[in-house]
Amino acid sequence: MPDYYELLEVTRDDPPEKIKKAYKRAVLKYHPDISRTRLTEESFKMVLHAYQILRDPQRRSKYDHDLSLQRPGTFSRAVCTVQDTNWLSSIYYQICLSWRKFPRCENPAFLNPDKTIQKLGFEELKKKFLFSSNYFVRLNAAAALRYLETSESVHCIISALPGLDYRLAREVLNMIGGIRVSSSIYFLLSSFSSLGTDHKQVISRYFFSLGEGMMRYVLGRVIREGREPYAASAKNIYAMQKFNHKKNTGRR
Amino acid sequence: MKRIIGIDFGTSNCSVSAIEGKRPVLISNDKGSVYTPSVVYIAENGSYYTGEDAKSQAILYPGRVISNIKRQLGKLSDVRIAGIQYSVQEIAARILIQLKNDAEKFLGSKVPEVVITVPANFSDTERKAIMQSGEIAGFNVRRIINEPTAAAMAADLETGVDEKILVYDFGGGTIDISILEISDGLFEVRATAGRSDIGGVDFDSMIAEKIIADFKNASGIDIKGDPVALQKVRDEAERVKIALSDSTEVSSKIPFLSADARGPQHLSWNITRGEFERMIQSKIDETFVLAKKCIADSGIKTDDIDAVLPVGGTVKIPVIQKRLKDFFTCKILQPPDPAELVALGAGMQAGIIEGSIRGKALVDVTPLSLGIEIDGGYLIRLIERNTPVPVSKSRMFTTISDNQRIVEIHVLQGEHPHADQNISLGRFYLEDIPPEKKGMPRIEVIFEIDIDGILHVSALNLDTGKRQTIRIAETLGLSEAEIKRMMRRAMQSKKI
Repeated sequence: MPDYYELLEVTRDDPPEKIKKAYKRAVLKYHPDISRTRLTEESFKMVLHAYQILRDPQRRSKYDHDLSLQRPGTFSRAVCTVQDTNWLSSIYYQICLSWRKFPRCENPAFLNPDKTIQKLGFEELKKKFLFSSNYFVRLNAAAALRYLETSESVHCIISALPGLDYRLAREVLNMIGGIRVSSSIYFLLSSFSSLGTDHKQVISRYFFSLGEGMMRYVLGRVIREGREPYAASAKNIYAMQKFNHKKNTGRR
Repeated sequence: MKRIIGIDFGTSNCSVSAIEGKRPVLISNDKGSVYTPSVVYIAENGSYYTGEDAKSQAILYPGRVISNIKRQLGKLSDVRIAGIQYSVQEIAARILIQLKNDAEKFLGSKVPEVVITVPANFSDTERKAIMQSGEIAGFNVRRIINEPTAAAMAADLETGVDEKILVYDFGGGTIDISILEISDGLFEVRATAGRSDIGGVDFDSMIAEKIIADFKNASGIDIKGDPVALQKVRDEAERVKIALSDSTEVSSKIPFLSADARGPQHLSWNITRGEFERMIQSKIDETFVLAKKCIADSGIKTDDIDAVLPVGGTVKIPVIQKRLKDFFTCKILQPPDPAELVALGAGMQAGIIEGSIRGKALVDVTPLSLGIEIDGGYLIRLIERNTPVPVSKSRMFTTISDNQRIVEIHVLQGEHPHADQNISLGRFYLEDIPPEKKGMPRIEVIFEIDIDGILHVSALNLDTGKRQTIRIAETLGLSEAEIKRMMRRAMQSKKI
């Protein structure tokens, strides 16, 4: 899937008016009548197609989801590297079941860590996160750790999860869920079964905020591998999810 | 620099334009008129007349005169005159040849290239047909553009930013509605809708039928079996229709229309504008149904439309102007001559391709959805209508039995869920598939609608990476050899 934002020379956060302007610029640049060459025809086609998607808020948000999934180091890779599908399907089965009880969550507003704390190294942050008595220092440290986006930093946060109080744990999970690097997803999955119900809720929400395309991919994998008893359940969930999705989009 | 001309190939009249300086101007024919009737007369020996000359022959030899050929384009119907079979494309080409000659005389240079306009709702088959007509006439057809879009370009609107225009193009044989967004020289079509079975010529025949019926009542003679009298009535009907735009009552006299034992019978008939308006009301209603559909498709609210541009000869009828004013709250533009706009727009596009007009570009849409037939005779759509062109869509195909060598793909255009209710564009056969177990071969078929609105199909075998051969059957088009043969025939048969 090509990056239409790059093609139109805009960023992912740009408002519709700016995208429209960029689209017009791109049409005038790639139109075969203006560029006077057939070479730009493919680009022109892609510009037209890109704008069809980005002009429509619903299609755009779906595309944004799909796009985020294929960025380097994203979830799709994490799933591919997981060897034990049996384990994966068991986790997914649980996640899917718990998810249905909760409404879909909005994209979180990420906490921007304090500038001073951002300068600290991994060991400093780890210390602050694990041992500080101040709630906000711990939270800031966690956010800074998330910013490092290395697997050891993520691991550090997750390994501390079971001991955190509910409020802090929720914030931390929210942040980790937002990273979408392979290690974070992996760790969320692996710690899922050992966590309490509250934590499970947050994690399962996160999986579903990844978007329908991702869900389909993972569930599809479980179904393809055909590992009983999970395959049958996954099929049911998949059907249910499709139904839910239809209902949701229909209502809008 | 190669000159490119723009041709508005209409159902009843054609006109030609070319760039002079920076603007398109209309080219007049050898009769001094910018309209050339789309009529062809073919004599016994195969020589032919076109335009005004052919039209004047109609009264003498109604059987040898072909008019309204545009409505036949893309249909599998040949024309048989004096024992010789002509394809529809070839007849249309005869008119194009005259336009070409007129343009060459006017410009004093060869014009090998052309932009031709078509109704926006023309299907792939119809577009291919006009393209082939162009080839037979010796043209290199550089572009096919849609009539309402062309008109919008030529209207030379003083547009602000993101102005939304609805083009109401009511011609001799077709009605097209297009909604465009215009800004900074970019003409972007948002939606289009049209029908090829409502047009000014239908109003002519309604009047003609009324005359025939009234004449029968008055004199007791049915002239339906008399081709010469019929032709006289048809010509009179067109004259009456045009006259009714200026006067509220028109009387019509045709001396010696028919004869019986009592002697010659003359037609003396009159019609008021009110009667005429009642006659055509249902047809006009249908055009507004189309307008509503187009507005709904575009996703733009009726109140957000900034202006309406009436185009085509038929919009000169006063009641249509009135209905437009009643239907839309925005301003109704008044182009100097709505019938000229399409040809001027074609000339404008020619200028853009030539390079003499800069900073303008057009993005049009495909008027009909493109789909393929699946099991059970259903249609699945691959490219939705009102998608900007050019566009391409690929789809994976495989085999359903072991060692299957051929896969058939039936491509259609239209909106109906049942395949047989749509326009068939042809059957494509993927051939020479390497024998394998069923479901194993993976063949990617790419359906492309190009900037002219014409479909191209190509296929790739993903396992071997080789291009897959495609055989096309059941298309209405002509082969290259047929086109060559028709070109030769057109050259040999003298123009009288």
